[in-house]
Amino acid sequence: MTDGPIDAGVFANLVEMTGGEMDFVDELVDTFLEDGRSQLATMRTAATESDLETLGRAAHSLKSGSLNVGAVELGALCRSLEEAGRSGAVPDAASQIDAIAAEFDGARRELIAERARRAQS
Amino acid sequence: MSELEPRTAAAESDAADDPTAQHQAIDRDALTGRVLVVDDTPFNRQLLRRLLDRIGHETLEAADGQAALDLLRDPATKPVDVILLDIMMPVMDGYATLAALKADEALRDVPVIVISGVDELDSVVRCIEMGAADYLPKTVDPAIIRARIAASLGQKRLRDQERALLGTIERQRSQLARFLSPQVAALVSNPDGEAMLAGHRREITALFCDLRNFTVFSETAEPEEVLGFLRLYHATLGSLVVAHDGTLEHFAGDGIMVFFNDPVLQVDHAQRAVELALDIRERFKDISAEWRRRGHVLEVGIGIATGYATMGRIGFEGRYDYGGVGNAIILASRLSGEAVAGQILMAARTFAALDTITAEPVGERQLKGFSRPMPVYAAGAQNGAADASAPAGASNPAS
Repeated sequence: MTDGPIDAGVFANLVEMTGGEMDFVDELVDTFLEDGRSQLATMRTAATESDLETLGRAAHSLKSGSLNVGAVELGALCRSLEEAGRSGAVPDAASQIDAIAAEFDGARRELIAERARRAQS
Repeated sequence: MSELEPRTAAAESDAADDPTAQHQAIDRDALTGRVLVVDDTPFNRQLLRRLLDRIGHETLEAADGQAALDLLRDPATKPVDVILLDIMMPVMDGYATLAALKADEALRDVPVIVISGVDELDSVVRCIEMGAADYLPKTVDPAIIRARIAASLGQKRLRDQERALLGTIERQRSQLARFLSPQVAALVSNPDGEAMLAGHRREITALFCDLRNFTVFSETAEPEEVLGFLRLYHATLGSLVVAHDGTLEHFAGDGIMVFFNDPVLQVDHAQRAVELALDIRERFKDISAEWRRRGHVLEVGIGIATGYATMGRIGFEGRYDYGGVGNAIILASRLSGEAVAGQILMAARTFAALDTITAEPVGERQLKGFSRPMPVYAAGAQNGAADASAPAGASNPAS
């Protein structure tokens, strides 16, 4: 997973944190993916309504989950959007959200692939 | 101080659940408690709850500050020991939640650990200024979680114990105040009081008051009447003694003994004692008139004397009184015996110490236990107003 959307070191930390209970890791990943989809939808609505507060909060929320599962790049993109939201104007909100959605999709694939590899071994 | 505790049944029963008895060293590693996780991100709640479960804590969760407050204030929710609080949340954010918690008497002391991202350290500072106990980074290390929650739990346990202890002390103090005169209760509750209780020499003014005719009354009246009368008499005198800052030594049937200038110093102790006596006489007029209508003649007689006495704890292990030994105390009692209905008699030293109260010599008396006749003075009214209720020449009916 190195150099991919998921930082292997951070992901290993998460596994260690759970005491190596992979079922729970899977649960957490599912929660992250489900919540991520919902935060992305919130961001899109907030952007069309120019609701910067909600936009920033959704980015903030997705950021913290991202950083815990190892989606470091996703976390960084969310952080930029969160900070832009706080600054008062996000002219390129739609393109930022597209970038976040693309990175989220990459992270999702990688996480699912990791699970599949584990199932085979 | 411990000798006095058995005086109150409450003090004894309190000893059983005395929190000091359970006040053991707190083993932080063994500490577990109920932790409320407040975070809008399901991932974070899930992760934190699992980590806390693994350490052995019981967990609850809320998705925002308002939901957390609702949960905490719900009577069905068992008390929470630690709150883990996210800052950025919809509906009610961490700051507003923290402010509401700190403004709530019942929730103020629950430690709050703020969960924060590494880029949110400014917010952490603000939260700690607002009363948060600590913070946890969002990317959580289980060892750090364990240590920080244990530290907050430890502080909370100590604070709970301290609160319980203060509550017990306050309860004991208020119970003591019901059994002892307030000045003596304060002495008992005060660490410096021990030396005073052990005994000290002090110039005091002693006042003794009892009733003329009480023996006849108690033999002829119904017991219920006697008790009813005593209750009213004690309540009236008790409130006057307190109002005049006297130290009530005891009530014994119709007799009461009050000290001034001990344990609290009062420069004008003689004056205060005579003022109390005048007030008792005044207030007793109504009581006396009421009983006269019912066919009983009851009048007060008061004796006051000033002099040195040894004051402190008197008695034996298991039953102590705060009291005094000295000639002034005996003299006050003898003068009270000499006083006719409504009369206030005082010794020469008390008379000499008065400023604004008039008193007149009523001759010398040979008092039991005193070798020489003593000059005795009878108090009139304040500012020289004549007091018709003290019939100087009246005979002294058997009491």
